[in-house]
Amino acid sequence: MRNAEVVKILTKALRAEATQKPNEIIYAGRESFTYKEFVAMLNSKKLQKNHKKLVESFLQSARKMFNENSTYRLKMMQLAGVET
Amino acid sequence: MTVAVLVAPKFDSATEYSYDWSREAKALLEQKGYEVIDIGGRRVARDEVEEALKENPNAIYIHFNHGSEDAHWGSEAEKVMDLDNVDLLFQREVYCMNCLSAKELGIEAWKHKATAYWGYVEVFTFTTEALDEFQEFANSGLKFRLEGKSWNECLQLAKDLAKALAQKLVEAGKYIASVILQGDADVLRCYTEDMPPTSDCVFRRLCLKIFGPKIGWKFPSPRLETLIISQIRKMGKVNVN
Repeated sequence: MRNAEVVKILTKALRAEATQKPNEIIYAGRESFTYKEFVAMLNSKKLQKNHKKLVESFLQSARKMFNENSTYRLKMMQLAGVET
Repeated sequence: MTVAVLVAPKFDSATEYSYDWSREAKALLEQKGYEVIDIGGRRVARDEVEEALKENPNAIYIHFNHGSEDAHWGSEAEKVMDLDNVDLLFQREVYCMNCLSAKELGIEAWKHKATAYWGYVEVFTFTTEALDEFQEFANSGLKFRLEGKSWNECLQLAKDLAKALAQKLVEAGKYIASVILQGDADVLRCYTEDMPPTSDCVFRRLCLKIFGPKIGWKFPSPRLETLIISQIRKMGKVNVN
């Protein structure tokens, strides 16, 4: 599966997770985001440098888990509504 | 009695969590017979930390709070440890639950002969959805160390634990939290005499390869590459693009 397709699945799946959990918060250093705010950043082209780095690190870890962890991959595809 | 200087300031919502987690660290140390000098639960001044470290030259130093590449913070505005007082870490074990400090301060501490420096080279991130798991991971290195493991073993065990916790979170449907926890594990470092810092910088890696870690890290700054390229450009001898 191509990288862009993986990111598309991840973003869709994580957006679904964020919608289900409106009260959960991510703390990243001195900043905090709701899941919804954080997932919105995954698609955004206009990010501050530190947010861009945070998003890139997150997507790198998520892609790694998607490629290496079959349970995670299956769950992401299910959440994104992709046929498995 | 062995002494631990535990610095765990509290002044915003993120540090309320890190302070909470530091209570477990304190209990673990006390169970193992450490006398814990507990400085925290409020804003902490640099003087307090320096005094405690000077009075206890062999104490393990533990910091739970915000960090940056070159510092440990005691409040919104005050650094309790940075490149100007890093010599206080000489021959100490240093355990950090803070962001980024292994990137620069940790390397300086290692150069100043800290026995061990445990910390993160990027931002430590956590979510409210999996606080127990993040706490377990954050305190795991100290826990393993107090069980008598070498720092090398502690690092491997902590990374193994993170993998298991991330899997547990996946199975519980906490996907965002699982990725974040795995990401924290990926940026965890421990520098000791046997495990010197490494670098992504080509020139630094070359220096380390040629001269070894003790001399290789003495060359100035991670900006070495930029410095050399700018010098070549100034000399106008080579067109570097």
